[in-house]
Amino acid sequence: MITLTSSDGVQFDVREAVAKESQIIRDMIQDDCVITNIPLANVNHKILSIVLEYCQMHVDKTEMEVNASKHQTTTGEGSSSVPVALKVSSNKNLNDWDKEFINVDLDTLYDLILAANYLNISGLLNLTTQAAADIIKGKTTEEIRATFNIKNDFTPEEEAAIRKENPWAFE
Amino acid sequence: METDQNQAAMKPTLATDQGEEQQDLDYISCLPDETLHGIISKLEIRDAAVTTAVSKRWAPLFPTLPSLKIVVDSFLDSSFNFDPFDDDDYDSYNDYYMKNKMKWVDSLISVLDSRKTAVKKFDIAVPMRELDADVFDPFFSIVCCSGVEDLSIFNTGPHSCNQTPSPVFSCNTIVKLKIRSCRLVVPSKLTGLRSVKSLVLKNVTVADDDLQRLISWCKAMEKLSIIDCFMVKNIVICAPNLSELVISLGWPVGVVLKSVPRLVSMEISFDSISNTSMKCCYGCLEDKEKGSDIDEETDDEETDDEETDDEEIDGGFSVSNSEKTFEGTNEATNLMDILNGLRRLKDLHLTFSDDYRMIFSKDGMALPNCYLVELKKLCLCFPFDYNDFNISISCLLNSSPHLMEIIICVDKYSDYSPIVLELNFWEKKLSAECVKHHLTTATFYLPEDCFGFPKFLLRNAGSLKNMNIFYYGKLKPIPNTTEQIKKELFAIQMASPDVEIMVKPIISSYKHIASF
Repeated sequence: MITLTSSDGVQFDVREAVAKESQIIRDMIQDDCVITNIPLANVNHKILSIVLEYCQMHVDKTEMEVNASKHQTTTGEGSSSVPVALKVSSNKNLNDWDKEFINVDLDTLYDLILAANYLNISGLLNLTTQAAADIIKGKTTEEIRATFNIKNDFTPEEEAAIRKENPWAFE
Repeated sequence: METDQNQAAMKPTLATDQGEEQQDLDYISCLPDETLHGIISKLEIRDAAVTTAVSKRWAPLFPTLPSLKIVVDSFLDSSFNFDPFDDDDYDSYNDYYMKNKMKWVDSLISVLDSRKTAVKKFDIAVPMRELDADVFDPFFSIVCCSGVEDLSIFNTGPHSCNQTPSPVFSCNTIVKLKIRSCRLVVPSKLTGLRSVKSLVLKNVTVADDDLQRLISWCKAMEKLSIIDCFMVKNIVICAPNLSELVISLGWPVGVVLKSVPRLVSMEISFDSISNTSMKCCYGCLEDKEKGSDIDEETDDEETDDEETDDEEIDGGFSVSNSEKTFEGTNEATNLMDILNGLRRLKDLHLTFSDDYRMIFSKDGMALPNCYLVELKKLCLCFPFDYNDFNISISCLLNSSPHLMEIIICVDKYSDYSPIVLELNFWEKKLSAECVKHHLTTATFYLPEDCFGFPKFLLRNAGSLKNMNIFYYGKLKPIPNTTEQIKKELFAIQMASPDVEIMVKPIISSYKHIASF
């Protein structure tokens, strides 16, 4: 068991395998085998609990799904050693679970991206940035600004010049 | 512009508990460039380019994006909807097509000209049937001359009869190449592809000669994946730097490893389930013709193996589901021959579905030990069957003195006799030495009454740390089975003092899925 402490002082006891979903924690454990308490200065308890929920689920599923990680991190494809039928069913469950999991408000999504980035959890980073990309997908510049509360700091001339650089994108 | 970039470089802190007045803040623009690049690179090129006009913070992101995703309507006017099956539409489509086909090339040139940093990766997914070679050749010429290192070509059209664009074969900057759903015709004189380290062919239609020529040419290749390809019958691999090989097909083919001195990881899977699902997706007349070809040529395949049996060959084996070949070949010896040349192999996965099982004869047992001196990880997915399963396990275990992890998946009930697979059976067949010192992790996917082998490991593997058992029942799961199994296992006198045992039933309607 490893204790992770959030920026606001809340402690979480998790299995080593779960904590090791994070590359930085993995490195810490590798450098110092006896470490049991890791303070995480950049993640508050609310986000950390969501992150750990993700890690827990993926560790559980990976134990069911031999070696899937190898293929997921490299090509995302390829065959796995688990019987195909088993793989299909458990992959489907996990994808469904991910979809449900990432259905959060924008502020939480933003915090999750930062946390995934800071803790270096490649699966979660991939999932959260994909979710952000899906929000942007197919939107006009005005719609993107409205969705994310981005202030247009271009002068009309500047914006026209920018649009001219890639005219095919704005047809 | 400068202040914006400074702001991005500063690591924003996570603070969500500061009240609702922050609801209107623009959080996303505060993410570091790297993360925003990660988001934008998941968009196709049109959506990505649109973000330049959002704000000054976003404007420089697209021109510095290291990877571009291009789909069919990326450069075309999105308002034009063409129905290829409507004859009335055809003339207007031709007009539109003639007018727009150069637009693809022009737009790409303008995008590449306005780059602030080089594009390393292109991900191109287009139905190649709709736009001819006279569009794609110049288009891919530009891509291939841009210094691209990672190129993925996916023909989203319904047929895999369109050829891989020829400029690819003369490009020398590509390090990672992935070709999907194209026909692969390799030119007789290759000039490019000298830097390719990773090659993935998926749903590609390719003749054996072309495949062999391509593999032999790519001398720098370290990783090769051949997944669900068509027309393949005999794969001959001569690759001096290859370290990782994946062959996953829906039917058995001949595999000849001519020269692979650096191979570290090998995964071979002939699985009829994936074949069935593949045929559902790509089912067409072509498949049927190919299927019959394979049956006819099964015999040739074996003679090929014998003919090429010269000094260079490290090993070769073929697997077949047709009964007549059972007598002619000894698959166990063939497999051991192929493995004999792989002294650096660390990771081995073998998957054979019930239809294409490997046949191990008892002669296989008389093999000398220590073939796979480096093997650390072994994964076997075989039908559970007295005649092949246990002999293959014992052959491999007796040959792998440094094995650390073993994974065994039995994905279906076959006819077997649980009695002979009890503990004492394994103690007779296997030398305890082979698992005594190094094996640390064992994972099983087994029917609920086949624990002879796990028990053998518990009794003999002195360094075992983790044993994970996922079991499934013949009919309905019996309550308390987990407890019963645990009780049985803990009754064994264990060789390792600190082994952790996890026993879990495989829930879900696994049996139901497996039987479709």
